[in-house]
Amino acid sequence: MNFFFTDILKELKKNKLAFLGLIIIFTFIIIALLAPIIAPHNPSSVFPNSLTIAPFIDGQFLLGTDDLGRDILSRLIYGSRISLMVGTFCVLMSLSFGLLTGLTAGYFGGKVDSILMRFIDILMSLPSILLAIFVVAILGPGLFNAIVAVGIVSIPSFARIVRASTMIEKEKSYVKASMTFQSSSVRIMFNEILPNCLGPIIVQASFAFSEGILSTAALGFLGLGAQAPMPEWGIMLSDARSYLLTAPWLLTLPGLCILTMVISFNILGDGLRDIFDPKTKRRK
Amino acid sequence: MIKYILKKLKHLLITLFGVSLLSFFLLRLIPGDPVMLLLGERGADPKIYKEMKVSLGLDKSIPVQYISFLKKAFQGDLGKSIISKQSVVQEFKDRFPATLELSMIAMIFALILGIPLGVIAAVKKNTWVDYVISSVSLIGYSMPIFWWALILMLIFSLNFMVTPVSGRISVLYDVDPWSGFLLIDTLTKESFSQYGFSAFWDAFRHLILPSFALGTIPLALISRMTRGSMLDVLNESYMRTAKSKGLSFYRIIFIHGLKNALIPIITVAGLIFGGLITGAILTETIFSWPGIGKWLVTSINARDYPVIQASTLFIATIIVLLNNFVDIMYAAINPKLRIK
Repeated sequence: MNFFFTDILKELKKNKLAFLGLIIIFTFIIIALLAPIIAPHNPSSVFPNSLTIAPFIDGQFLLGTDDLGRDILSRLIYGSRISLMVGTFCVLMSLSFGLLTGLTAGYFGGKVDSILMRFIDILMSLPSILLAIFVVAILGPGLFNAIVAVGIVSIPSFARIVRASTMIEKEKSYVKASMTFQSSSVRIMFNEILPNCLGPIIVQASFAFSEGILSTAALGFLGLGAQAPMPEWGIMLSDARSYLLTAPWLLTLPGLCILTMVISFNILGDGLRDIFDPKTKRRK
Repeated sequence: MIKYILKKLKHLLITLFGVSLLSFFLLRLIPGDPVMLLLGERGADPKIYKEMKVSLGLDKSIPVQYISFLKKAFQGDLGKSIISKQSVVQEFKDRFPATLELSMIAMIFALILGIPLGVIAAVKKNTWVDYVISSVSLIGYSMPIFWWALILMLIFSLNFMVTPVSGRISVLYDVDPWSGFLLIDTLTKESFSQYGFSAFWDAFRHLILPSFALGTIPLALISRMTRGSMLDVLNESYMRTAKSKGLSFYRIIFIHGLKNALIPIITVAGLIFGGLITGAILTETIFSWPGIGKWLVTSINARDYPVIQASTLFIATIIVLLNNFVDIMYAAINPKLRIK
């Protein structure tokens, strides 16, 4: 297992773009972890004497303040915590459900496969935001519900990928050997097949992470995700709409943060795909 | 092929059944009493409460309720909006053309620009031209379009004032909704004699920013796909044959290359078009575009459940039909897929 990850890292270092993505992601993680130390102010502290200060004017508020006099830099720093957490939970949720569905469907095939895959088809037929809106309509708006909604949306892609790899691995001799030893199905699925499908799963996880951040921010923007005082980037954008002309930095900065994080995960995903799927390498 | 289509149709029916179930259970899964949700404070009166419950059929068992829901849905009756008191189906019909017009213009924009960009990137592989196009498309498909739309609005509508801020057409023009597509309706005999080209031009100007914002992600995806697909084709032996026959460069690239590279691109374009509805929800909210996306968001904030129920049913059905159509078309072009 350890070899597996050091090998990936070695390959990634050769792909400059993907490695850059990885570095940016690590930087975000460090910023998020150290938020209480590096943020100059509390993200919800209000400074009534310093409303809508532009960036780089006041040394106390490096990136300016918003309409309520809150420090933007601090809010952005704390926002990275929320975005990374959102991405992690979305991936964990969709990964675990997708893995179970995909493994079961691919391993058993037949009726089980048909039923599970029809269910996945239904989930896939709903566009992500629509499905999320559907879930939020039932559970009510809130960050947690938005995460659940976005997590559900990503289940099908994981399920399909795991199912496809399981069907290929199932036919290989090492699995057949395991079957003749009468190992239990669960054991074969998790101990034999799963470790051999990790490549495509990791690639998908990277894309699901960016998708999760983007969709949750979109829900926050629509007022269906995280709620007001929270320093979430989508909400910050939504608040900025009223000050487009007077304070455009309220709009540009959180958007750039979202864009940077999403791009980093996408280029990392692209790089990982090149490693695991030699077919795409040819196009480089 | 017929066998494949039949199999697809079977899957289609099952999926539609699931979608209808989801939509049916929406009203029943919301915490709280649906009757009270629909009636608000008036539900406190036991008589009105009971009437409503019977008219909704909520006094019957769940399977009976579902069947009557389906029956009504097929007759075009999906209830009334709590807010406007209008039939939901009618409201949908009024708004859908606006979304369709926006999505189609966005898609045309993405195809017209995306395919040539992809071809250029593939032909100029590993030069600075390729790097620029590839980086821009990478940024494009990572773009949070709700942010992008606002940036575009800030630059073009508020700072340079070259495009209108919101809506489909200025209030000055009173255009008769004949097709629902304003680009067509403004050119009918009647409107044309009244306004000349000015109404058409005004509607077009309203379309520019929203369709550009909505088309950004499809544009990035299509140029990326075209590049990849084109690179695959460029390696094929028939391309070498074409070259050795001494055909002109453009003939080789566009007739022999692009024609073959287009198949996967068209498929993806079909799938992207379905996905545009998602983008439309955000774009329409930002530009106050009177389509189904904005309708859905407004109805969620107003807790207008019949509208949420109906619009999710409509949108999901459209997408399921579209995806299956794309699959069948793809199989018609590529026989290998039918075996699966």
